[in-house]
Amino acid sequence: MDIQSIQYLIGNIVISIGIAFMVFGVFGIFLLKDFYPRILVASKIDTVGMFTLIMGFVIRHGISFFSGKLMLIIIIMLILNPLVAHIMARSAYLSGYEVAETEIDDGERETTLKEN
Amino acid sequence: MEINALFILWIISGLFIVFESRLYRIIIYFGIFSLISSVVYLFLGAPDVAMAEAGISAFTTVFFIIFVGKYYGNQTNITREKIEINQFFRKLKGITLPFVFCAGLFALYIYTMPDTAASTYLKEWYLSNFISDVGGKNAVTAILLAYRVYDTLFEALILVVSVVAVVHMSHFSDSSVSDGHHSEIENSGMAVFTLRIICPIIVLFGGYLVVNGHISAGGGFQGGLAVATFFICRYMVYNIYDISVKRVMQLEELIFLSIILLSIIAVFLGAAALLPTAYLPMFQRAYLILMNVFIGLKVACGFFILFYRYIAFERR
Amino acid sequence: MIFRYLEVFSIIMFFICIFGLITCNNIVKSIIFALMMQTAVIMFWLTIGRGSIPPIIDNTALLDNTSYIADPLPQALMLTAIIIGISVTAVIITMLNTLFRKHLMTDWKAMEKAEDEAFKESLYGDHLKD
Repeated sequence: MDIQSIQYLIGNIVISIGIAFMVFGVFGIFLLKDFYPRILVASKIDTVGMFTLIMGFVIRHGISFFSGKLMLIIIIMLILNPLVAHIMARSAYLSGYEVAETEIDDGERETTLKEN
Repeated sequence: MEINALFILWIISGLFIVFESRLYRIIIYFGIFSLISSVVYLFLGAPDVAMAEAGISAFTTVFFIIFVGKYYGNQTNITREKIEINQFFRKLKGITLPFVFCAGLFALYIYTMPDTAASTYLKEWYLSNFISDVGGKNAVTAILLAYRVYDTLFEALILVVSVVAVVHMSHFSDSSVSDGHHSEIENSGMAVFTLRIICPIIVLFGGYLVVNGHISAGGGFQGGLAVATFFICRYMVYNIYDISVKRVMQLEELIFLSIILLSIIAVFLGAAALLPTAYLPMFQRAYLILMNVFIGLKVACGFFILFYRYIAFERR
Repeated sequence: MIFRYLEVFSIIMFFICIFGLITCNNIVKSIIFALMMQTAVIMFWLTIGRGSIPPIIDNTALLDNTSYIADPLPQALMLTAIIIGISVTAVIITMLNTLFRKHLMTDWKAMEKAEDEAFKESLYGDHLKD
């Protein structure tokens, strides 16, 4: 097994981890109902998923000009994506969207269902 | 066959806009539509057009969001609008004949579609001659700046005319300038700090696109758009009203004049014929880079004025 | 080598946009459908001249077989078309701003009604004064 095939293997594993993060994020967006949890999950797609995906590309490609450009993209993404989530959540809070305070527990819901 | 999947996604994103009734969502779906179409352009082998589409869609979305957000605010109830399918059929009576005509043309087109390109003469001529005629490595830039300069000149003229029209048609009050009101983002320390780091990188990227326009994908227009996005970031952090619009307009018209002069000297008068042949590649390179830099500056100035007018247009 | 059926997608998109233009009542939506129609036309031209290699010639060995290189002429023309489109859109949004300030709505039918009433008022109002 030469170095390049090991590189490809590690790169593919990292890329699939990134895709798994993205899939969980998309699942979470549909699972959660309130705005603030949703934006928490959506920012995870942008930062963690994107970061691991591009790191996988960098590992696959080795050291070259192309991977240097990808590293630049990673740095800009790491700076900008949390900022976007921050600005969206902040403007939602400032424009009067309130955080949902009370949440029914699962045990409570089950007892109410049984009573009915 | 991934391009088929992209095309189907493209059509689905178009259908989303048709069956949506809230204005904010329509605008966001339009951004998604433009993103997908720019990716499809890239897959079709047109990176220049893909870059232009991405920048354009960013600006169009910002303009629409400014308009809707300024006048409707949070009241999404007003913007609700019902889709009436019955109305479509009622109106279809009047346009049945043109619709049938178009559908017939469509069927005829599919029937007579050729398997290969009808004529590849011009394509081969451009591709084989542009390196010696114009220089550079990008055939699209060569066509835009040398073979079809008239197109570029008149397109630049149309941009100037539209900027002048927007400045003269929009209602502008001095009070909106003097009160120095800002975006809410200015109060957030994190956003200000991060945007201050990002702003120079954006300008650097725009300059890279402009200067490398003749040897790689990109060019004056795309780089100018990237530089113009810098002004949007700058609006969020600093006071935008410290720049005089009149000065910027004068600068834009001056740059437009210099584009015309440069193209007249280099292309129409044929200044390259007067030079000794040893200097020809250098002259060609200098012409391409200078034209790209001028076009980029002009586009950046024009889009700065447009953004400024939409922001300052009767704010409340 | 090249499948020519991809142009059909852009034609379908064009007709979808016509459907949207007929059914919508809102001015902002109409403008967006006009922009989408422009995108469909651009897509049509780019699919005609498509290729797997973009027209950036790094080494002249690429020029031996030009059938895989994309056609540069439609790309240059469409770049011009995109710029003209955004210029026109900017003017259109300004006109929309002015219209909205006058009528405080972005609905085609309601605005038409309001325009008609204002016109009639100006017409008969002047007549009554004489």
